[in-house]
Formats: sequence, structure tokens, C-alpha cells
Amino acid sequence: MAQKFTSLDPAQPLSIGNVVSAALRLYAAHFKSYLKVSLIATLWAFVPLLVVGLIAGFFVVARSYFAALGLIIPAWLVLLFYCMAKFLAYSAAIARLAFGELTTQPETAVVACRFTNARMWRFLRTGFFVFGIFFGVGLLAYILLAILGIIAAVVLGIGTAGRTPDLQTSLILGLIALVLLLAVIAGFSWLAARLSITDVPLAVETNITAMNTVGRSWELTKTHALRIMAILFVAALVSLPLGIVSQIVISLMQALLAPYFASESEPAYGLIIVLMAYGLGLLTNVITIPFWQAIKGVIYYDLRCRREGLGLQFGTR
Amino acid sequence: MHFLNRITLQTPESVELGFTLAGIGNRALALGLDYTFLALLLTGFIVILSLVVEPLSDLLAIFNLGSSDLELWIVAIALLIVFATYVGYFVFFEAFWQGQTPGKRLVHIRVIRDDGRPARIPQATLRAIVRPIDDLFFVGCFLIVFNKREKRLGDWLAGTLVIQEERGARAQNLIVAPQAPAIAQQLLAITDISALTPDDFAILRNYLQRRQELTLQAQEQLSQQLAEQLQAVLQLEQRPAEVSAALFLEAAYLAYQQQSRS
Repeated sequence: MAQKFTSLDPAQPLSIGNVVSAALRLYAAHFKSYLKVSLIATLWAFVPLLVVGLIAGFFVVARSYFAALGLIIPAWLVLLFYCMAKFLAYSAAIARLAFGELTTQPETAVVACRFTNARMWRFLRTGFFVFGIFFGVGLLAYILLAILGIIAAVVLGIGTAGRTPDLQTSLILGLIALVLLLAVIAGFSWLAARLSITDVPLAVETNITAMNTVGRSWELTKTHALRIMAILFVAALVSLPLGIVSQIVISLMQALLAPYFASESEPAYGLIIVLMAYGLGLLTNVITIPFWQAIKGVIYYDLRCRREGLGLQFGTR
Repeated sequence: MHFLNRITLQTPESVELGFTLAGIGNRALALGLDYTFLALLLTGFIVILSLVVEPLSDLLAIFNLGSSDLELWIVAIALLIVFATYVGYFVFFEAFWQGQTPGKRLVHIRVIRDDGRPARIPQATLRAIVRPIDDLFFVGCFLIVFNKREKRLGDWLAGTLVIQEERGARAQNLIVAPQAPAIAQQLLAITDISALTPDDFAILRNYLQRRQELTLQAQEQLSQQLAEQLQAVLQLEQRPAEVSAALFLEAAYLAYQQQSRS
């Protein structure tokens, strides 16, 4: 029976590297459908910006009707929230598709998108909630550091006339600051890992609210924050080449276009470069979103296996 | 489709062997670890070198051997040692440590030849020589992702594969309650435990191995659920009196083991 316990066993948890490999293989096997969903999501995220451009263009040309801004700005805000919700819902659909594949309950992209779109406002609320947590913790850390800094300054009497700290004190202070900085970075990475899959339970489970999808992912990631940090690190490492390639393409284009313009400070040249860089950025997003969403889907699946024994039942195989 | 890449190899003796390929994730992680170790090793080396340089030049001066080129020499030798360490690290470990560098060992992957035999010095050397190209320009990463056998340039050249170690047999030390053996006997007496298929037993073992890691709520729910399913499989109307779901599962595990041994 020993041969039944290979890494092929579907109920067996995955190693850090295998989470990344599995996500990439899922993406490769469903490249077209994931890419299409990702493209739709990215286009939704692009719409508010496009509208801003159009509005700005209109006012530049018309140079009047500024009173209408009182109406246009609220309308645009509504549009922004709508588009953000759409973006989040479509992105989450990819994580849902990946999870469905892993639990051998595959769905078509259309069905998955319909499911997540039906709860798009919950995705938006989840997004705000998570953003709020990060913002709050960030603010708290900032205030704490500021207080520490003030205390240090007062105790050492820095800033009062005629007292400059000697070399030793500055060195120690610098060291403490470095340690604090590292601690802050580590803390935020930990928080990011704990909150990395907040949209996945909402994309997969039924009867779930914007609040308890965050609670669910908090509970699931409880004992595995370090593993998730490692997974995200490896995933970033693997997706690094793509970022570098797009950087190379941008500099190539710059070099190719430069001869057609009198000088590099010409506004048209700058505009074209900015637009191209932005377009390429969008394209990179379209390609990388499915990868990260698949990673999140696999992490969620793996945590369900580890923490809830997903897939453990008799007589199914 | 399965979510990890499997291949079958033919050995020179025409034996078919199945392996799971390492995958880009494991390989990236192993590489990251190896480069960290190498960086630590080289930093240590440079620190020691910088400590030694001054006494050494003093010593040479005593014997009137000091020369103005000394520093150049030291830099040259140091560079040579750094390069030798970089290549040698991978060659040494892959050739003499069953195809595993420390990073690979931690990640549970290893290098083998295309026909399943272990990698030796020629293969390890070829892999190590091409490594700078593979790593610096991410050629290797793209190749691993986009070809079926996950070979980077060095693997093509050396005729090697990187596979996952199969990890079986960790199941020996399952903790069961002290009263479980007695209930196992009881189960053997009242039911036909062989109604349990090997696959079912695998699930049972899987559950017992991993239950400590489950959330409390999941432990409760899952043991209840599995116990009910197991009762159905064994066609038991009800569990023996005063036996909890978890204990019932432990006893069934022991009973199956005992029955398959006899």
C-alpha cells in the first residue's frame, strides 16, 4: 500500500514549491480561459481611468461648464466603485476556477464569473475592509514609531542647543532604527500573508459575508503564516523574469523611437513612452493576475486540506 | 490533468520507473536556499581573508618577501577561490550527495540522469558550468516552465532530470488511545473489517496522521463524518457502546492492520 502515498495523493498537503508549480500548471492548462477572465478584469479596472481622460479632454477643449463637475465627480466615484467591484469579482473567479480544478469539480469560466459577479459588492466591501486593516495597522505603527522617536530625542536631549550626540550614540540609534525598520517590514509581511487569501472563501463558499470571508481566511492561515510568506516569495521569484522582460521591452521601444524625435524632452515623445509603458503594464497585469489568483486558489485548497481535512472521506475513489 | 508533472523513465535494464518532476516552485526555492548558503559561505571567506591579509603581509615583510604586487595577487587568488566555490559547491554536492545540494535536500528534490541512474561528476560539472547562463538571464526559468521535461540548458547538456523525492512510510508512530487495541479486537469479532478497501485504509491513515494539525472544529466534524461513513462501509448499525468517533476510527485502523498482517 505504500505506493498509494506518493505526492499524487489528492488529499495530501502540498509543499511550498509544489503550491507554486501546481498554480503555474493550472494556469498553463487553462491559459486561454484564465487569460480571458483576467483581460475582462483588467479592462474593468481601466474604465475609470479612461473616463477621467475623456472628462479632462472635454474640459480642455470646452473650457466651460465647470459647474457640471459637481455632478460629474460623484457620478465618477460611483463608476469607480462599480468598476472596482467588477475587477475584484472577475479576478476572484480565477481563484474559484483553480480551486474547482483541484477538488475535481471543474467549472467553465462563464459559470465561475456568474457566481462571483452575483456577489461583487461583497468583494468590494471585503476589499475596503482589508484596506482598512492595513491602513489602521500602518497608522498605528507610524504613531508608535513617532512616539518612540520623540522619547529617544527627549531622553538623549537631541535637538536642544549645543548638544550633538557623539558617534557611539548615533551608531546605537542607527542600529535600533534598523532593527525597528526590519521588525516593521516583517510585521507587515506577516499581516499580508494572513490576509492574502481573503477573497477566496468568498469566491468559493456559499453563505458567506464580506466580514466572515476575512475571518475565515484569518482562521485558515493561523498557523501557516510563515509557509504562506515563503510561497509568496517563491512565486515572486518565479514571476520575476516576466517583469524583467517587460522592462527590457520598454527600454527597447524607447531606443527604437528616440531617432524619430528631435529631442527626448519633446512632449509627444514623453507621452508616447508613458502610454506605452502604461499599456505594457496593463498587459503584464493581464498575464500575471491569473498566476497570482491561481496561487491563492491553491493556497486556499492546501489550507483547507491541512486545517479542515478537505478530501478525506471514504469510498470516493 | 494532474497538477504535478509526472514522467516515466526506462532504465538500461528496461525497467519502467515513475517520477514526479521537481517543478519550477521547488527548483526556485532550492536555488534561493543554495544561493543564500553560498553567499554566507563566501562572506565568511572574505571576512577571514580580510583579517588574514595584514598579518600575512607583515609576516612576509619580516622575511623580506613583501612585494608591491601582493594585494593584486591576493585579489586574484580570492577571485579564483570564489569562482571555484561557486562551481564546486554544486558539483561536489550533486555528484557526491545523491544528486542533492543542501537547498535541494531541504526541498526534497534531486538530480538524476535521463535513464534514472544517479548523477555523477560529468553531469554535475556540465550542469554547474552552464548554470550562470541559466540563472542570470532567467533562461533556465523559462525553459523549465515551457518544456515538458522541465530541463534547463544545463539539464539538456548533461542529460539530467530533477525529480521529487518520494516520501512514504512516515506512518509508524501514530498515537492512539490506550483503549483502542481492545476495541479493535471487539471490531474484529463483530464485523468483517476486510470490507474496507486499501484506498479507504489510506484515507483512515491519512486522517490519523494529520488530525493534530486540524482546527478543533474540523477535528470534531471530520471524525464524526468519517465514523459515520465507516459504519456504513462496515455495515454496522451502531458503534460499540461508549466509543467516541475518534476512538472508533483508531480501533478500525488497528483492526485493519492486524487483519492484513495475519
